Amino acid sequence: MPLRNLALALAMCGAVGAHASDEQGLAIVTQGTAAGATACIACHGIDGAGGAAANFPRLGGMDAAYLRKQLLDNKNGARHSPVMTPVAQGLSDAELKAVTEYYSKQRPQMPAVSAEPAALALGERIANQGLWARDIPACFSCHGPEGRGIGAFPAIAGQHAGYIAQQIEQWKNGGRHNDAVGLMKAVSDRLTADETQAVAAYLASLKL
Amino acid sequence: MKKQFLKTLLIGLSLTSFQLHAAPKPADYQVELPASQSGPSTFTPPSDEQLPKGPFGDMVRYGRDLFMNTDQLRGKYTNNGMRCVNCHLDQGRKPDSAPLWGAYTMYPAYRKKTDRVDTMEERIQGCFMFSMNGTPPPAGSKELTALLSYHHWLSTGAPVGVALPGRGYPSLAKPAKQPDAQRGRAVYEAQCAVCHGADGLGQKGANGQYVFPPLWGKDSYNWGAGMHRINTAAGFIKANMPLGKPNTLSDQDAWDVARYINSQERPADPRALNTIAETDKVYHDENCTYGDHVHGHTLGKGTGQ
Repeated sequence: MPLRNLALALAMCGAVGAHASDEQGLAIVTQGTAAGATACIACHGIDGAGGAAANFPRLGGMDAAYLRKQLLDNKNGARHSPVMTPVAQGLSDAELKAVTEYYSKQRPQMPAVSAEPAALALGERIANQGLWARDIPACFSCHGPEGRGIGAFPAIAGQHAGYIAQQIEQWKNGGRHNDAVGLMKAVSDRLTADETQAVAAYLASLKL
Repeated sequence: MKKQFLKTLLIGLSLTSFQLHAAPKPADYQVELPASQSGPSTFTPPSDEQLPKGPFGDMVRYGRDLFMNTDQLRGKYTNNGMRCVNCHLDQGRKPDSAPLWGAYTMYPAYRKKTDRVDTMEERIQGCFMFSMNGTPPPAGSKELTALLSYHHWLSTGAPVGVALPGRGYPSLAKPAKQPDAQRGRAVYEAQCAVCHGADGLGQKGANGQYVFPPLWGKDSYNWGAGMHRINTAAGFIKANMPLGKPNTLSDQDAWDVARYINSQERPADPRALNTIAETDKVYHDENCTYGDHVHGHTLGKGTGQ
């Protein structure tokens, strides 16, 4: 009996702990931290929808471990961003965990995508089959069926087209280099500007 | 089994007769077809847009679907987590990734692996038995006809009986240093583990099907598959891995990592004879670790079901 009570007590602590973390996440998202992290909602929104206008990425519904790695990379310099590096530096490990778990649980409504049918068709081809004549594998061969993400590979479905295109450009020009085994660098180097726009539009048109 | 026994008996007899002259060399059952011409691929298979309408086109489409989504045959004709496209990239089109158009036009052919003239259908059945660790679909079945139709269509315009450049996997020259599993492990962890997992068991998507194929363990290719051979895997890896970064590993790294991957336990060889030692002698003479003792384990026992 005492053992069972102990288990019950621990379970309750766990539940309270999870709740506290959610509240902590929401507090940081809305208010930032005293150590200098600005409120996430200013750019990413309360539900993590991000913003197409300034290429603020969608965070809502993405894998918490992936988001956490990006913030850690922002913090330690592996992923440089004039905006995000100071924010990440203002987050403790526990805060970082709380924020990323908060956003991973959100289900944002994303804006409708308008693109030329021909561009969407090319994007669909790149995402599903790749352009192997130029050694470009299908996006989904690593990012998982329908681009929903798997393991270290983030979801790319339902992400803002502008953000995806910007990241591909950054891999290409060396501005971003925290991809596993340089896989995104290799792919980005081979994508033309038109292909980049096409695949970004197609991925943005998908639901996560 | 009876046929197997006869084959063993014949090999035994031939070995005995050779013993007076030279050290016996068991038949290498994995020697493949004649080497292809080197150089860049010159053949372009038809594009999906050119798929014909009508019953033949429907059959080709079904074959392509089986090729890409092979999980639908699991439990019937396959018994692991592999898909045809895992070893034949770009829907079976990619040069240096055993493209279907490179194989189709070379059959029927004599293969030492089976010691007879195999048809294309029998070659595909071999994939089911070894790479898919399954029970091949019978000749005349819709599944085999569909896969054969897909091979045929992708080979439209290819010359018959010509070993085209890009056929099979490239053959790598023997490396400077003997392939080494310990060095290979370091390559694996740096280059392969992010997709195939630190444990080599692949990664599954939300639907329970593999996104990244398992390289060893019960859901991988078995000890009879061509890919279990270190030279075959090294050629595939060099030309195709990591995905999207072909020919970036050094030859030595490709050999080492192939040895590491193929020094792991996997489903048993369906041709297995009475003992691992016997099977080793008959079927695993070269380029593989079958029968080796690794960390107190004799490789080749299989993973069970």
